[in-house]
Amino acid sequence: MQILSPSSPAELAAIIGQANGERLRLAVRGRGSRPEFQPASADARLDLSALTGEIVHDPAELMLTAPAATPMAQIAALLAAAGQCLAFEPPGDAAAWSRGEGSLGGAVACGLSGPRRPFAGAARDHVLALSGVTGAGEPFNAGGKVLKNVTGFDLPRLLTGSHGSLAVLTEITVRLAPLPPASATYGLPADTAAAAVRIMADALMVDCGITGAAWRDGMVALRIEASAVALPALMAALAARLPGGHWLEGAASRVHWLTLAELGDVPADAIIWRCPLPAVRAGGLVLPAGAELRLDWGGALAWIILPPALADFDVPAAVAQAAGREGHARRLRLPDGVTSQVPAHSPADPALALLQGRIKALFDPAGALAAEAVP
Amino acid sequence: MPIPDAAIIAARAEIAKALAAIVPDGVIADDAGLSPYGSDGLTMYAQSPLAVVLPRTTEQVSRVLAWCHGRGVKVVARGSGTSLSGGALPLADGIVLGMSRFNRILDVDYDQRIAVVQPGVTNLAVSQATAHRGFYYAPDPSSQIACSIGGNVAENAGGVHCLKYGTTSPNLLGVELVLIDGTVLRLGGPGMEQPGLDLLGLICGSEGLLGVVTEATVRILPKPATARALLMGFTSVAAAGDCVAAIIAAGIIPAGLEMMDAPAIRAAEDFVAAGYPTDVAALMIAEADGTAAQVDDQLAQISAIARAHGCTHLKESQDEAQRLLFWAGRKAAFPAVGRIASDYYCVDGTIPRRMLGRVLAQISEIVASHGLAVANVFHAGDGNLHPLVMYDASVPGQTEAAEAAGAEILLACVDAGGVLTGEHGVGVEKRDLMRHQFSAMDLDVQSRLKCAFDAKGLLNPGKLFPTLSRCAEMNAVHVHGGRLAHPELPRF
Repeated sequence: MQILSPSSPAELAAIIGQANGERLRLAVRGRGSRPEFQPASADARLDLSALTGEIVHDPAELMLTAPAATPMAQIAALLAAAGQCLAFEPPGDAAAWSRGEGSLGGAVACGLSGPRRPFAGAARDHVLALSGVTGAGEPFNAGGKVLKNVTGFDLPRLLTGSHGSLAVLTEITVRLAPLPPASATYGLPADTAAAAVRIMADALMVDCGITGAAWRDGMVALRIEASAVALPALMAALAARLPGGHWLEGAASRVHWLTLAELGDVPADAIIWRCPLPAVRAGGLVLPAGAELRLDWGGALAWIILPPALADFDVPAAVAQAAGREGHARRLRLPDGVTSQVPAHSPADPALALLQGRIKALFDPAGALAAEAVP
Repeated sequence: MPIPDAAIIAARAEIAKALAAIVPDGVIADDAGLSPYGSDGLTMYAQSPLAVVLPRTTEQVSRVLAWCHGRGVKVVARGSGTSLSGGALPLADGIVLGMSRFNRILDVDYDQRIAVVQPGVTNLAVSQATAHRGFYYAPDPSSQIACSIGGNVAENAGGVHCLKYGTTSPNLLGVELVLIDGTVLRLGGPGMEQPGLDLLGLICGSEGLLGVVTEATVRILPKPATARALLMGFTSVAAAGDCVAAIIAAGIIPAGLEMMDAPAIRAAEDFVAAGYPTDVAALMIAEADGTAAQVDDQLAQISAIARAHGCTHLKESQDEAQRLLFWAGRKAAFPAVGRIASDYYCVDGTIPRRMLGRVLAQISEIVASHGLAVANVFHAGDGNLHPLVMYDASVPGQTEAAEAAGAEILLACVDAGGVLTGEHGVGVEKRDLMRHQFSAMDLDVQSRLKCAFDAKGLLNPGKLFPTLSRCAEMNAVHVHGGRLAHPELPRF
């Protein structure tokens, strides 16, 4: 397949414009950490890895602007050195479904948010401004490089998580947050998902510094983040309110949340499903023996991990049974050599699909940005 | 504004009759009844609508919109009418769809920390209804006693606690939305993520151009155990601005970080006697919230930074009454300015914080060049400025001078790397300034979204965009299965 590698937004616009004229369908690729997202068929590959350049990091303005192909690991290291972070905890290169070096553009296009999502907002809440080229080859800017902005339609939110279906991003400005100076994790036993959701709801009923609420291996984990001075009092208050737990501190606490976010402990041949749903519905998920259920976001995100033998277990149906149309499932990983008859995501709502189709046609009238495949 | 359609205006009686068949007790079409709807919070603009329709149910909204769609009648949705950008300014040839009867809180789920409310419920009512369980709704625009949740969604409303808790959008989990053709959609819901394109994110802040919200699911939060405030005086605005930057750079996100300049301080102090020092050039209020340990720690850090930046007055609230008193001055700044000037025009722009000193100096020059005076209050934490341009509407030319000064201030904000509006919306007020912030292509890419929702341009026309994409042309490019029909034809 022909590979097109623009090194500037102008070259990118010219390539997409030409693809419109010649009716070519382009497979858009950032740094290639998610090759399984490539379309099943395309006429050429649009390789964006050369869209790198200067990173503008302004710690006092809580802002960073970088070209779309900037590696996420580079940004994470830069921010950590300045005591800052992306508050929505995007999964890193070590994520179980990642196959290499992820980019800022890829992280925004996929729009995945980590454990801090219920407390600090989602990926879409941290994208302040972006530049891109529409599927029709039109270069544009959207949003504003300030913390508070309501000028015009909110294209940064619309394009975050749009998987490159409307436009190819070239530059992104994200909102930063201070890196919490200290953290600790409180573990409480919970045998079932329903019991875990109950404990997490109780824990979150008062303001107590919690920035993570998850469940795995029969243990609810509650993360507190604060200044080193304030942390001990917050820990004492939580343990007094919910007795019977134990503490993970320092590195053990950090590793626990990294594992929850990136599923680094999942066997290499396991299938991974990511299923947002209302927290109170998580207890109703019925899974076969051998399937593993983990919860994050206080129960509003279910991870379903299947061994290869259960590849044909219909997770979208199980989620629909538990949560109706308020839950949805998406397969993030189908390991090499494993096949499945199950569609990779829940069916779209027909009325919404119609509207989304109209939006797609306005941004990419010739279908130059080929529809992604899903694992 | 778009030129009114004389044929529609002439058909007022027929239109009112048809709408009354859908909403029997909710159509106003007489001049006296219409007069309260003639403007919103931006009273410089006024226009009586063709008629006002006050539906009670989603079904009625759907049928009214579908009827208007079929008949080609324009629709301006209105919540409480507190918009400061003319977002709810009526049209002579359009109806106002008043959502005030959608005034019920439908469900509060404390386990999931969400409230499902109708759009006419006021912002403050959500906090009041959940207070007995120790919860509240975080976005707190200064009009919160009156403004509606539906209007908050339309404008992506902010408030003084945005820096820490976000504007409306991050606190909105779902809506029921009616499109102009009557289609009822549900976007989002009690969960925290929706599949496909983020239409909920697009709807929030779309200023009534894309659809009408008939229900909203919002996030409620447990109230912080404590909150305390610091009052800090500085001998220069620049020193105060540097202090703000230093607080943020130290990794502190206060619950509120507000600033006032000397004219605003004096007006507020004369009005409410909050105990503000009146011999300083800038006054800052920083609020910390959370547990006692968190608040103590944060205020100690902020105090140290303030002292290092030449803070001349430093006072910490000793009890809740004093905290509220510190805020009383800030919150009364607008009416306080209203006491010293017969009229004032509130401008709303955001700038990078490092430009604060420079832009404030520019604002003084701009306003002086129009022969007027200005007082500044602003959300210093996120760089959101609210210059209050003082004028006297009874003096010929002063209203126009205030408007011209406001526009120049906003252009200066954009030139400083900022944006036209931080929380009030574009509406009719800043519509024609959009070309200064965005290129023609930027505006075209944004405004074409209108074609997916409202191709006839019937919902709130004349607001937000100086011109709209011609949907007839865009929709004429028929797409089938991702491929253009008749690809052999050249397209211009």
